[in-house]
Amino acid sequence: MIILALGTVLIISQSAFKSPDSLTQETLGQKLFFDPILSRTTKISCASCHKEEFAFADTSAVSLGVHRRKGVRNTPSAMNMSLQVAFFWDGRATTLEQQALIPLQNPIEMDLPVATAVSRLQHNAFYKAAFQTVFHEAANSANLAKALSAFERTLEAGDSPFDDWRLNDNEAAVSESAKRGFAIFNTKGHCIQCHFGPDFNDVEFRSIGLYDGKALRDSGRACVTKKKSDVGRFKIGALRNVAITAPYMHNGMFKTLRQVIDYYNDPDKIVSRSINRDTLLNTPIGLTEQEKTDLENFLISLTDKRFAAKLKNKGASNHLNRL
Amino acid sequence: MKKILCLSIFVSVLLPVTAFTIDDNPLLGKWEHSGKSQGQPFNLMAIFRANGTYDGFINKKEFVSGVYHMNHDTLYIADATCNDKYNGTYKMEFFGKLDSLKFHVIQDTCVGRRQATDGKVFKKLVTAGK
Repeated sequence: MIILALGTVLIISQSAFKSPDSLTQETLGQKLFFDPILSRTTKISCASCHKEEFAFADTSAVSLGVHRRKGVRNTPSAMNMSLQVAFFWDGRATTLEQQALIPLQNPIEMDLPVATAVSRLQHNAFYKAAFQTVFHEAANSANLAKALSAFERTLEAGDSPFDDWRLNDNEAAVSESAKRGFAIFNTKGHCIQCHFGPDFNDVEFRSIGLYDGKALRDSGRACVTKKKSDVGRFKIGALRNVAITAPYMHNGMFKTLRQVIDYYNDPDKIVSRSINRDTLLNTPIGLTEQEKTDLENFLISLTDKRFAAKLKNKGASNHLNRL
Repeated sequence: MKKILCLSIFVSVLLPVTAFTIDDNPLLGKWEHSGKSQGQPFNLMAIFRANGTYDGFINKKEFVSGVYHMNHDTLYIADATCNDKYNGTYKMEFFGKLDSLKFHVIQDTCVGRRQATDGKVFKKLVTAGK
């Protein structure tokens, strides 16, 4: 009798999720985000590159699109977008709705014209009903973008050990090393000069010296604005969950957080002839090895608790946080 | 005469120190302001602690951390984002049962901090334990 009841509950809950009648903009967007119907080959979805278990980022320097075509920039996390004002490394989109449709059409990503995507959705029984339920109209480019961006806006992560420490005054939430790291972040490291705000990134575009016109040829923001002053500038990366979104920077050139810290500590040692680098990075910081570890531990403490297991697998929390 | 002088000095030092003790600093605790930005609701919260530190939160995400002190109804506030050596100054207006406050800028060149506080009314949530 109990088994029958449990089975009934399971069936009902499963069909409730599958039924278009119960969908909201956010859950429709979630379904679309994970659906390869939005790619030419029907093999790639948004989630193929924005992997949920890695805070909706990717684990390779650049991602592979349809037919394994290589991307040109590192896939950033799709989390914590609600408070952002620019999207993509070069800021070419200024709203999430605008951002949502660009990878669909990009030949090296999902390679599907929006009109074709819309047509597929209109001829798919589930989506035909779903769009009627949610938007009271057939699928079109506007409501497709709306659904995807509505889902992305739900991906807010503000429950990290760091948040527990600062919001709840829970001194046991983070290690002493992480606390020292936070102090370094705000003082000697000067990280706060660019990485400030609820997601630890500013709205500006900055050049940290990863453009030299030779080996490093992506001019970033200048691709959009065509301004010489924007050469080498990129959107400042948000730092929540950064510990699980390696590799780092617009080209994924740094494999670990320590490599990132080493770079900022003395950029000329890594990229000797950068062009248009921000003057904030002119002087080596002079961090000791302990200070670098502390800074790293602070960054690790920005990992949302839902990804704690992922940190454990990386060995980060077992070793560094004990210091 | 010497005794009176010593006593006067002692009292004049003691009085300012006790003028604003932990127990009667009305700014201590959590303060909240809700509003809308770009059509989206947001929640601003500030925690002022007895040890002279404060944190600001947007939608429960920490976005600023700094130091403050109060002198009667004047708030002096600094953080590393703006300049940790520079104090913005605000007149703090408390009303209700000291459970609401309003910031009035006196002088603050830090645009972001001014925009987040000046003229805004915050309601008190919980008194800080520290």
